[in-house]
Amino acid sequence: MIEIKNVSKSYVKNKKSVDGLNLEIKDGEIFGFLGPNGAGKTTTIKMITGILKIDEGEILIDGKSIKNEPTEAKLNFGFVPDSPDMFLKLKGIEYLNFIADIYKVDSKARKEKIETLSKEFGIYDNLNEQIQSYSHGMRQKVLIIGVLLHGPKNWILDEPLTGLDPKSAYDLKEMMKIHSKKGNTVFFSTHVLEVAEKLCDRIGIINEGKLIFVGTYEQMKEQFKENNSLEEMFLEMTEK
Amino acid sequence: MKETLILTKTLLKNALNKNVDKDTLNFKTILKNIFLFLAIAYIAVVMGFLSKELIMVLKKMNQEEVFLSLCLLISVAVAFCKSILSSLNILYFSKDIEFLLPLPVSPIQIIFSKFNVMLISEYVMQLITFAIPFAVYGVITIQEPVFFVMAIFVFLTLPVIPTLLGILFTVILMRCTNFLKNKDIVQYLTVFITFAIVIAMQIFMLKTSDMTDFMFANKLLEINGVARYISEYIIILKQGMIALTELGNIEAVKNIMYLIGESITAYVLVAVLISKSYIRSATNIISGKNSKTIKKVNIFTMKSPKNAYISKEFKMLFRTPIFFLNTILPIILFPVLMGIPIFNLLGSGESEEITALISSINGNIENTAGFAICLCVINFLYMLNYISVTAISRDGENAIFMKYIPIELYKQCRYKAAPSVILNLYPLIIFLVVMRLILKEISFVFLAELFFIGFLCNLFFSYGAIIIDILRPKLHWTSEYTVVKQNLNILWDVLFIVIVTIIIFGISSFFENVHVVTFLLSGLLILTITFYDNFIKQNSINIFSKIC
Repeated sequence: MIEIKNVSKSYVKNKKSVDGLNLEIKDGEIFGFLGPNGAGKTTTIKMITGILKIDEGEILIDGKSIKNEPTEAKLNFGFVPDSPDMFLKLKGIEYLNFIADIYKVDSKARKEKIETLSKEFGIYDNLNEQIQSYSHGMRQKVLIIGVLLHGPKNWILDEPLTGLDPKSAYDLKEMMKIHSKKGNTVFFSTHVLEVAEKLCDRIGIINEGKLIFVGTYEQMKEQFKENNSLEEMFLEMTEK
Repeated sequence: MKETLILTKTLLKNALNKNVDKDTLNFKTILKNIFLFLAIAYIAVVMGFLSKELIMVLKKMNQEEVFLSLCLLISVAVAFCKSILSSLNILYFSKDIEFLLPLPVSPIQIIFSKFNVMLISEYVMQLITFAIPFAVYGVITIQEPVFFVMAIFVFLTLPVIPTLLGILFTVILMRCTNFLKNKDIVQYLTVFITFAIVIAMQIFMLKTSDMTDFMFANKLLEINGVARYISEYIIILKQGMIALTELGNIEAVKNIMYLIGESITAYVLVAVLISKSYIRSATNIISGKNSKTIKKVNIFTMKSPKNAYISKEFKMLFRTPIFFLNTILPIILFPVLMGIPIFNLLGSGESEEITALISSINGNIENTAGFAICLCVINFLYMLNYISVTAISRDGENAIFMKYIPIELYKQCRYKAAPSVILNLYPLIIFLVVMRLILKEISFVFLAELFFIGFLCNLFFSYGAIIIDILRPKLHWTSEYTVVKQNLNILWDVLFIVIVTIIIFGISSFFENVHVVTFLLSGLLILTITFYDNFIKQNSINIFSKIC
C-alpha cells in the first residue's frame, strides 16, 4: 500500500509543483497516474521513491515512511524510471546480478527468475551483451526484470510502456494484473489514456500540481454525465 | 561531383563540430580557439627547431639530403598508420552513415566524401608536422623557388596512396575480424599505441642524449640506409625524392606527374573496391549485427551489496574508454613514465655526482622536512586521480539510482570512494619501492610511517573528493568527455590537495621528531575522515538534494 498524505513540493519559491497531494493506493490495486507534461507526475513519483525531498507531508510505503525510514521503505517497492539508459556498459546479466545483490536475492532464486523472465521477455539470448547494444525496448525490459527480481509488493513505474513492442507491452500489462490480483500494488504514470482506461482499477489525474480527479473510469464518466471518451474527459479537465 | 563536395563540406563541419549557431560564439569558444592556436604554434616551433638541429648536424657531413628522405619515409608511414585508426572512426564508428544512406546519393559518393575528409585531416596534420621541416630545409640549404613548388606538389600527392592503403587495410580487417567492430576496443588500442610510441620516443631520446653530433649523424645515416632499402619497394617514396632533388631536370616533373596520376587512380580504384563491402559492414555495426555467438548465461553467484557495488564501479570505469583513459591510465602510467628516466639514470653507471647526491639524501631524509617532502610527492601523485571527484557525475542522470535503492547514501559514498582508494595504493607503493631502491639506507620504520600517513591521505582525498562531487554534481552531460575534461570539480580537488599538503608542511615544520608528526597527522586525518562520514550520514538528504 502506498499512502501519500498532504504532500507538497516547490522547486521555486511561491510556486508549488505538487500541492497538498492526498492519495491512497490500496493493496490489490492498479493505479494509473495521468496528467499533462509538467503537471507534477514525475515529481510525485520521485518523492514516493525518495529521489526528491518532500517539503511538506508524508509518504508511507507499506507503513514505512520514505522520509524517516528510507531504507526499509525502499525495500518495499521496485521502481522503473522513465529513462531506461541505465549502466549501459554493464552486460544485461551483470546488471540483473547487481540488482539481485543489492536486494540480497539468493543465487537459486535469482537464477530461476532471471531465466524465466528474460525468456518471457525474449531477451535471454542477449543477456551476455552490454546494455548499450540493446534497443530502447530491450533496455526497458532489463529494468523491469530487475524490479521483478526481488519480488517487491509495490511496483512504481514511470511511463513503463514507452518503447515496448506490442508483445512485451501485453506481457507487462498481464504481469501487472497478476501482481495486483495477488494483493499487491501497481502505481504507474502514463500518457497512453487507452492503457489507463483498460488496465487501471482507479486513475488519478494531476494538473498544475493538484489532484483534480481520483476514482474509477466509471466514476469519471458519472462525473461528466456524458458519453465521452477518457481522452475527451482528460482534455476537458486539464485544459480548464 | 557537386553532391560529393556538399557531403564533404557537411561531414567536415560535423567533424569539427562547427554546426553551432554563430550567436553562441562566446568567450569560452574564443578562449578555446586561442589555446588551440597556441598549441599548434608550439608544435610548429618545436618541429622547426628540431628540423634545424638535424639539418645542421647532417650538413656538417654534406648529407643534408638524408633529412629529406627520412622526412618522406616518416610522412608515408604516419599517413598509413593514422589512416588505419582514423578510418575506423570516420568510416565505421561515425553515426552519420545512418543519416547518409537514406539520402539520394550513391554509396560511391559517400565513400568519396569520406575519403576527402580523411585526406583533408591528413593534410592538416602534415601541414603542422612536415610542411615546416620542408620549409626549414629549403631555407637552410638555400634552395631555389622551384624546390618549394615541387615540395607543395609532393606534400599534396604523397599522403594520398598511404592513406588509401590504410583505408583498404581497415576495410579488409573489418571484413575478417570481429573484435575491431567494438568501438571501445578501438579507442583503447588507439591510446595504447600512442602511449607505446611516446614511451619508445622517450627511450630513443634517452639513448641518444649522450651522443656527440658525429655519433648522432651516423645513427641518422644508419636509419637512412634502412629507409633507402624500404624506398626500393615503395615507389612513391622514390618518386617524391627525385621530384625534390633533381630540380633542374625533367625527371622531377615526370615523377610529380607520376605521383599525381597514381594518386588519382588509387583514389578511384580503392573507392570502387571497397564500396560494397564497406556499406554492408558499416550498416551491420550500426544495427548491432555481427556474427557473435550467443554465450550461455551461467553467472548467478551472490555477492554482498558492498562488493557488488564496488565491482559495478570498477566495471563502469574500466569499460568506458573515456573514463578509463582519463581516470585510471594516468595513475598507472605516470609512475612508469617517471620511472624510465630514473632507472636509466641509475643504470647508466653511477657517476660521482649521483653517488654524492644519493648519499647526501640518504643522510638527510629521515627528518620531518624529508617526511613532508615525501608526502608532498605522494599527494602530487594522488592529484592525477580523478576517480572520486567524478564518481557521482560519471553516472550522469543515472545518479538518481543511488537514491531509490535500499542502501544508505553514506555507505554508497564509501563504496564510490573505494576504487580511488584501491588505485591510489599503486603510486603509493611504487613511490616507496623506488625510494627504497635508490636510498638503500632508509629505514623500514620511516617507510612504514610514510605508507601509513600516505594511506590516510589517500582515504582523506578519495572521500573528500566524493563530497565535492555530491555538492557540485555535473549530471546533465551528453558526452563522457565533458565529465572528466570540462569539470571544474577537478580544480577544487587539486586545490583541496594543495591546501592539505601545505598544512602537512606547516605541522612538520613545528616538530623535529618524525614519530610525533606521524602521530599528530594520523590523529588529525582519522578525525577528519570520521567527521566526513558523520557529516554525510547526518545530512544525506540535504547534501544529495542536487541529485534528482
